[in-house]
Formats: sequence, structure tokens, C-alpha cells
Amino acid sequence: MTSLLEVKNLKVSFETEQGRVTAVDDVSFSLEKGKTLGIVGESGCGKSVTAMSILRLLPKPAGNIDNGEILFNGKNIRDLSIHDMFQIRGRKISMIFQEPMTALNPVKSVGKQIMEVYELHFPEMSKEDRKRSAIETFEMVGIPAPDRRLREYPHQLSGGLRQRVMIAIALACKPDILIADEPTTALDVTIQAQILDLIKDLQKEIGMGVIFITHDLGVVAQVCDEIVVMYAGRIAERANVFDLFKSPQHPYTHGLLGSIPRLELAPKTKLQTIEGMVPSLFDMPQGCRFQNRCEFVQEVCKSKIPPLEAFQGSHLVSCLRSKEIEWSDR
Amino acid sequence: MSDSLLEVRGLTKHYPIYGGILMKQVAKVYAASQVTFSLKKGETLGLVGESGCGKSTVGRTLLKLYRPTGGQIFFEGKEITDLSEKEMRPLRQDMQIIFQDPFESLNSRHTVGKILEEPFLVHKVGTPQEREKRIVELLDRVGLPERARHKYPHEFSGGQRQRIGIARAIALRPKLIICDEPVSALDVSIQSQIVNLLLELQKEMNMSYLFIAHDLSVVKHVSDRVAVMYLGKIVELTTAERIYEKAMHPYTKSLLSAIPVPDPTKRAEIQALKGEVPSPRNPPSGCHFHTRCPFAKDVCRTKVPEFKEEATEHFSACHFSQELKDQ
Repeated sequence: MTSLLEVKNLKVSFETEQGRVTAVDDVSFSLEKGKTLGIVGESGCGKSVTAMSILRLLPKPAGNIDNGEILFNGKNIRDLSIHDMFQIRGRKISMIFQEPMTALNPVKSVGKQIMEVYELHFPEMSKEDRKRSAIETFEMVGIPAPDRRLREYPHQLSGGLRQRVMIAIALACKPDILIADEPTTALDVTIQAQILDLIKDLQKEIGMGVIFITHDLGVVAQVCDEIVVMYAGRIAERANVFDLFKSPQHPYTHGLLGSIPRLELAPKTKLQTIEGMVPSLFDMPQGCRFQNRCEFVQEVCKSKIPPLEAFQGSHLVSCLRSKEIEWSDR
Repeated sequence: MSDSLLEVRGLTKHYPIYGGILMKQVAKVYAASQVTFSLKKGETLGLVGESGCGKSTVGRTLLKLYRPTGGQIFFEGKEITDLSEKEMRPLRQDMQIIFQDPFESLNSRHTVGKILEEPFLVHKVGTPQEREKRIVELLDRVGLPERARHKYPHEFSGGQRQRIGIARAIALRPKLIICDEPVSALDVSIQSQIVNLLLELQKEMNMSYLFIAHDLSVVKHVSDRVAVMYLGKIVELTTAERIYEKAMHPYTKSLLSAIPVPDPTKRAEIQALKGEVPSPRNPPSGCHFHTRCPFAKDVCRTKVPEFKEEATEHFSACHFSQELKDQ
């Protein structure tokens, strides 16, 4: 059986004034129908670039996919013409972004913006049908008084409502895959809870696969089935959500989980940290990219790139020392 | 109380809205109303709430960066509410602030050395040699190399810039620091570094913090006591342990339940609050929270709940605190 989406050995680089940098290196994962894949990592780890590559939305001419395959229902997206890509974007694979204010057009009413999607993908639809579908979709994502809201402009809506509009536009054609890039990061926690619930419910209804990109480990624990942890453009660890949180194998994943101030911790205790910071893309070390922050680093880590290997079954980790390190039970 | 550093009584800040042809005042934004709390020496009070709840307004009004509409502020027992800018100036050595985005609060045309020298120059502290020595000490204390002095803010990462902001805030050994969302913009591995640094510095220098943030788990972690704000008012105030274990106010409870727990085996059906925060321009009658509260009754729509001590050191503003506290 072919996966809904399979990314194999993706490598993406950008041309900059200071030379070519590799933002994503050797990234592979797959997404099944109806499942949610989380891509977690901190700023600059390549998670958004990975998402942009899937939709071929990398800035041109600076960004380039150097290597790898992106198979959507078994077909390589990289081989498609621009015209074919139009048929996929928004209809088969759609995306929602962190800040709906910059993703929505400020001078068009939100109704016009969602009806454009129908106009583009279903030109045979009549104007009335388009409007009816728009109202239905707004209702589906829980926008109150949808027929009135259609006439409003993005600045007239609250942050939570704007995010609902963007989700409505993304889901207008009931896509096979939804890519959500930090969809709740700019929202308050009570509104975040509403939006996460909404995405989960809609996923059940439409049966789509979701790629959830976030830096928030709390969010991935709540919504994802599979998780890819990225660090400095590479995959550090890949596992199903239960294995990852129960027995993280990469020192980076371990450090990340330890850094979260959990509610059950006693107040004012010292948090676990990962010392130092992510190396610059211009100055990536040889070997493992986490070496300068890793407490288990040895000589071999400085020369050999750790391959992504099975730790147990489908739990993959890219650390040369993961089998030697004994993690105390969490 | 002798060990109290800061006392705030009934602090209120309303912003006027002007409109019409004559630009008369047509409405008010009720940013903060009747905010009362105290802060002891060496203590951290967390101030938590969603966007627009007035938490930053409280922090800035305290420092007299905004002129309060009503209420009183006492610093070390002395009332500072009506002091002029000139009279405030000597006190500013003792009261500092750290902002969310240190990039916007650091002068991009000054080197880090110059940024850190400024507090000493403004308050005429030390000789050039002494200042020089202190700057090196400060950089070292916040974990930056000495050569950072000659660089500009844009050459640093977000976490390092926050370290510069902290170094500037502690330069004159203040007694109080208002930390306004100091870690919200940072990645989680950097966030924990900065949280630890703030905790260490507090111990070393016996400073008091007012820690303002929207993230209840961070606030709970750094604070001794936590105040929860909703639409300009404090709705609950108690110790950090109690806010997590024994929250009384329905708003605090829903904030707690909305935090996504980093544990996939605890996937609760989140009881998401319905609706959104109403506008502070026209807050609901009675209890401000009644439009979203799952327990709202008739009395909540008409009568403003009193903010009172429902258990030892546990204040809550809800008509049904006693009934709801065990749910």
C-alpha cells in the first residue's frame, strides 16, 4: 500500500549573499490517511521549509530542492508541471499559517477570499452555489453568523476568528492533506484549545492526513500520532507519539522534554536546560550537528554524521551513542 | 508590614477614546480596574492572563510609565502615585523592567557596552574605570563573553539579546524588576536557560519580581504567588502551589485545563471555553466572566463579585467560590 504522502531524503538549500546554505538535509517521513504527523523543532530547524517544499512554495530562485522525492499518492510532486501544481495546491494539499493577518488579503472580504478557491478549482460552479458552499464551510469551522461574516474584512475579525477563516479556506475543497504551520502559536491558550479541537473534529469528518508543525511539545502530545523531531535541518528522532514521550532516545529530545516548565513541578526549582545554542547554518560542524550542546559528546561525534537508524521497530534515532546512554526512567 | 516592598491598592487605568469632529472623549477602555496586591522583598508575584487582560498595563502603570487613573502605589512604604517625573527619577534605580522583545527595547545603533553604560551615566554612578569594570562583570554574570561589548544588538540571537536586557535591568542592583513576558518569544531550550538565570539572580540579589506572562505553566514555575487577571481585574490570587492544586475561580480552572499537557497518555477532552474575551471597551455587567462561564447564574449578570479571602492566603472574585472549589 502506498502512503498518502512520502518524503524521501529531502534536501533543500538556499542561495544567500554569504553563499549556499543547506536548510533541510536528508529528511524522510511518511503520512497515512486520517493520521497526524507532528514536525517539532525550534526556530531555524527547517520544519517550515520542509512544509513549503511539499507544496513547492519555496521562494524562487533562492530556494531549491537539491535532492529527494516527495511522493503524493505515489506520484513525485517534483516532476509535476506548474499547471498540475495548481490542481494540487488548495484542492488536494492545503496549508494554514501562523499569522492569519498576513496570510489573508486585507483588501478583500473574507467571503470573496473563500469563494476564490471555488472559482479556481470548480469553475463550473454558479455564483449562488459558491456562496452556499462558503457559508457551509464557515459553519463547519464554527464561525457564528456566517452569511454576515462573509462580507467582513480580516481586520474586523478577532485572532481566533481569523484563524477559523483561514482553516475554512484551507478546507474549502476538502483536501487529502492539511499542513498546519504553527496554527495556534499566536493565539491565547483558551482559543488554542478551541482551534485544536476543531482541527481534530474536521480531520475525523473529512478523513484527511494532517502535518502539524509546531515548537510546542504540549500540542504535539495532544494531537499527533507520529512525531519527527528536527534539529538544525536534520531529523534527530522519529517515533510514534507514545514511544517518543515515554522513552526519548536522542539527547536533544531528552533535553527539550526536560526544559518544559511542567505544572506538576515545584515552583522556583531549576529547570533542565540545553546549554549553548543552535549552530549557524553558515557554520555547521562536521559530524553530528548537536555536538556542541550534547553532554554525551565524544570524538566520534565530531567526525561522523549519525545515520537515522532503528532503535526499536519504527522508533528511529540519529545518535551514534544512543544505545550506550542509559536514560533513567522518567 | 516591614518586609513589604510594593503595595498596590485599587490601581485603575482607563484609557480615553477620542472621536467625533471635536475629538471629545467618547468612550473608555477599561484596561485595569481596582487591582490590589502586595509584593514582599525577594518574592515573585506572577501576573497571568490572556491578551488584553491588562497585565502589561498594570506593570507599566506601577512604574509610572503610564499615569494611573485611580488607586495608590506604595514603594518601600512611601506613596509614589502622584510623584512627578523628576521626583520619580532617583527611585528608578530601584525599579527596572525587562521586555518581551529585547530587540525593540535595545538601541540598535549603540554597542552593547554603551547600552550597559547608560544606566550608570543617567544616574551618575561610578567613575569611568568603575563603570568599565561593572560592565564586564555584568556581561559575565548573564553568560555573555566580554567581547560582546563591542558588538551591536542585531549580532545576537533572541536568547542573547534577552541576556543583554537582563544585564541592563540589574546594572544598578534594583529592588524590583517588572518582567513583562521575558521568555515568550524564545525557543523552549533557551526559555529554560533564561528562567534559570532569572531565578539565580533573584536569589543572589534578593530582588522582587512582578512576572507578567500569558503562559500559566511558566508563571507558576517562577512565582511564589500568582494573580490571574481577566478583563482588567484580578479574579484569583494565591500561592503557586494552590493555583495549580486548588484553583477556585472558573476562569483559572479553564486556563489550567486548556494548557496542552506534554504527555500523550493524558489526552483529556479539553473543556474549551466557549467564545472569546469581550472588548475591554464595553465589559459585561456584573461578573466580567459571566459571558463565558459554564457556571454562570442570574446573580453573575447583575452583581459584581467581591474579591475576598476564601481560604488562607487565597483570594477569589466569584459568587460561587465556595461551591465550586471542590469541583
